[in-house]
Amino acid sequence: MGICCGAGSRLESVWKSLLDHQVCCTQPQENFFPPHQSSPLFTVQEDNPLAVINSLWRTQLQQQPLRDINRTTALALLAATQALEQSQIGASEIRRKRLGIVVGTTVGCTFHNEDYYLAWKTGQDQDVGRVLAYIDSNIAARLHAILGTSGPRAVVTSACTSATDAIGLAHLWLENDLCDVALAGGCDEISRFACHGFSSLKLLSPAPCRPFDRDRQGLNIGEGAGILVMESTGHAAARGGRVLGKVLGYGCASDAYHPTAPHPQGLGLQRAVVQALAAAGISLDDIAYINAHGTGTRTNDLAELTALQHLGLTADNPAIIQSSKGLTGHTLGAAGGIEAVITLQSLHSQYAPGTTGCTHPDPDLPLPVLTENDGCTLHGCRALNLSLAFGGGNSALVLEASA
Amino acid sequence: MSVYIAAAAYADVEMHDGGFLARELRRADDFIRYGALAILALQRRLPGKTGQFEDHCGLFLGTAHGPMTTTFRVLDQMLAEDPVSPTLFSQSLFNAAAGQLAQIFRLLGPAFTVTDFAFPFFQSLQQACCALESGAVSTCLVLQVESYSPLLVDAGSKDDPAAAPLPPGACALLLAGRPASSKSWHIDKFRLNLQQASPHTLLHEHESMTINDATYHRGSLGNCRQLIDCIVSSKISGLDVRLQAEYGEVELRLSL
Repeated sequence: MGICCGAGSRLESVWKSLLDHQVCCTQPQENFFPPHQSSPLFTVQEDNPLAVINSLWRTQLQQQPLRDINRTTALALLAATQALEQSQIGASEIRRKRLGIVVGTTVGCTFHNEDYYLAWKTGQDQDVGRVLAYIDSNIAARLHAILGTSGPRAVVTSACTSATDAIGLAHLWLENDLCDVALAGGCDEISRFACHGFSSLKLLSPAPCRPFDRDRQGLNIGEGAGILVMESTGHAAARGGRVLGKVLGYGCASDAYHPTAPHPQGLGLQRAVVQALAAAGISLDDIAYINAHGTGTRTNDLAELTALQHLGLTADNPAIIQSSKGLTGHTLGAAGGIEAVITLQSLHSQYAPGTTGCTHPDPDLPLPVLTENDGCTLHGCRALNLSLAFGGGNSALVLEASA
Repeated sequence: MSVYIAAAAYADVEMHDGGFLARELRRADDFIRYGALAILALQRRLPGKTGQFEDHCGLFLGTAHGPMTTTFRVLDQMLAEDPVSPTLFSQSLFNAAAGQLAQIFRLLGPAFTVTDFAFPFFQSLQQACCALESGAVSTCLVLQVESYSPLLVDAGSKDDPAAAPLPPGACALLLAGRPASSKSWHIDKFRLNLQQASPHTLLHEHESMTINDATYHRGSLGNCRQLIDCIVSSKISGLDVRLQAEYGEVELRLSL
């Protein structure tokens, strides 16, 4: 698994930040938000993510398709090469396989080049090359070209559930024998477009976000990527590779309720969780840890925990509920991938770090959550990873750490 | 493969809903509107005319360009330093259409959007078939929606003055894991193979489609419309469909 986000550019540094609650957000550039509005941003520290790709992998990448890649793809590539490095599947081996690449994104699929658009709108002659570069920027296609691989691809653009859906889709591809190995997760970069948009929805916190806290003021936007190398059990056994964990189940359902707000009882999320647990053949009692979507908006936090309560979760259940977004910000289409990596790391460490920024849980929350200073030992090897999206999308993954 | 086509339809710019969706679409952009009209047309062709989809029906929407015109309307506001409309911003997200279509037609299953310049309809068909075969859904809609912004049309004509503009609209199939009627098409074979391609080819959607012995060059959405016409009106019991382009190929075999 590979990860880069505001909390670090490798798993080790992200995990250390989570344990230390070391918040590394930055103040935005001028004009990133509308006048008199601002919100901290969680940016990946590297200006050039390609520069920190493992040197062994860097020499294996195809050079021509690397030229002019956008930041979203560079972040995806950084996480993907980390994941491949950990899987010990080398470049020549991956090129012999049917590699499925399925990535989620929100910003990475849109054409919002302001200079080009302004020139077009005012009738100035423009270089069509900008549009062609956009057409040439499909993240999954570009990753295949850079890695020199072939196989199925998909870019999932289901807003903030995109990466969770991408992992779910890769799980289905492997089940249906569409590929031997899959790179799955999500990636997104910070954009002025998203900052203005979320600002218009009045969802942004002017201070570092505090998921589940009584004094929370909203979310912060972040960027990053989280990518998993996935393979079937048979394939992993045949190559003798170390298995970090398993996707036991995946569920996805719509609220069919509102364009931007979740259903107050999280009806879609309830259905997604039920579906994921059924696919895994387990119940909520078997879950040790829940990495919640936990954005830090009141509507999200309440809907999410209400859904879990309606599913029968009580304070007596062993499941520990936590959000990572106090350290990563809301990385939009990357969130599910980043949080799947953090979930697996938590299971492996048998430890759930507290929710950064949550010191006094909102008394209206129907279930207890892990506060910042209450990081604790996990008693079990299975977790739920939850994602909610604009448009009423809800997705759930059941993950299990391997021994 | 046990996947059946229960109904098929498309919507183009000429199509109206007769006021049926006036309330639901009053604030919708063209991208959402085309998708809704295609599903409405499909719904009217459902066997039994119940007009209802199963509760856990999924929705897999493929698109090359998404709601690009709406993105530019948001940019207009940003560049003018006006407040961004929350409605426009939320509709500029690529999954806004899937979310709103789920709300309008009460589709409670997964609502996915996949974005690719190569064969977006068949990419969503691939994901839908996977979901059906895994048992995650028992029915699902497969859509392609394109609204082609004027900026894109201009770029296309600058890149190749001889290229004809591509018509916007939407195509829809309803898939099921079992036959809905004796006239349900069965998907005997489906294979999608994607390749790297030049952006010029992708921009102009240079692809050819052969259905049995007839060949068409109508761009991505135009070819899908032709396929849907054949599915709806064919008098024969089998369709051999092959799409070829620099960006890959599709093989689809259907039988009644």
